[in-house]
Amino acid sequence: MVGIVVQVGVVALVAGIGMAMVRMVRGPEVADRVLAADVLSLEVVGLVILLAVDQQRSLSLDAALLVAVVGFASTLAFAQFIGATRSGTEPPDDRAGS
Amino acid sequence: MDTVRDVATVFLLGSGLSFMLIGAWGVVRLPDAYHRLHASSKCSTLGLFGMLAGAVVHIGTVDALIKAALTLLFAVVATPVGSHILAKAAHNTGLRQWDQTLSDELADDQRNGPPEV
Repeated sequence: MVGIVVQVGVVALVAGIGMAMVRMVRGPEVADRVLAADVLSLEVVGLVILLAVDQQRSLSLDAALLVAVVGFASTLAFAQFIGATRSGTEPPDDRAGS
Repeated sequence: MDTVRDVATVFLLGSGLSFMLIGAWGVVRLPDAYHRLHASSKCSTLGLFGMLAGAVVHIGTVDALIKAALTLLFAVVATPVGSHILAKAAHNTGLRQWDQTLSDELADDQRNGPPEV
């Protein structure tokens, strides 16, 4: 019973990766593409969790945590990139103290 | 006992997977970047919670519980922070809202100063 759910789940997560890549190709702004990359990394975390369920071992959950951390770091870096490269205006106020 | 555990695993994994699928669908379907952030952040937190809980119930060891709790704690802290900072960066660059969105309170506050309570 769990095996069927794992198979269906792989299909669902790959469909989610496909949707995120659609948004990454079509997205009109940089923010849409960054957001699609964030969603894509979370779907990959889901795939790694399904791997752990399939193997019945907790070893893969380390990899899930690692992928989540890398996805969050890339989102932060791209958000800084977006906020830092605006043209013709002053820098944002909330970074004045740093 | 194994049947109960399997049913719980299937329920938790299924709910988490459907949340993640709905979140990805919302990222494709919703009209602008702020709406898409709404879909992705909430659905991926809940979806990750369901899938991790299903994995812990299925594996059933203490180290799986600890690793899942760490991952979930990180996701609960990191997802709102990432979404907020991304939305603020997009707003700073002047990203347009959907033309049927009714209010832009951050722009109002930046124009008029902070609100008086």
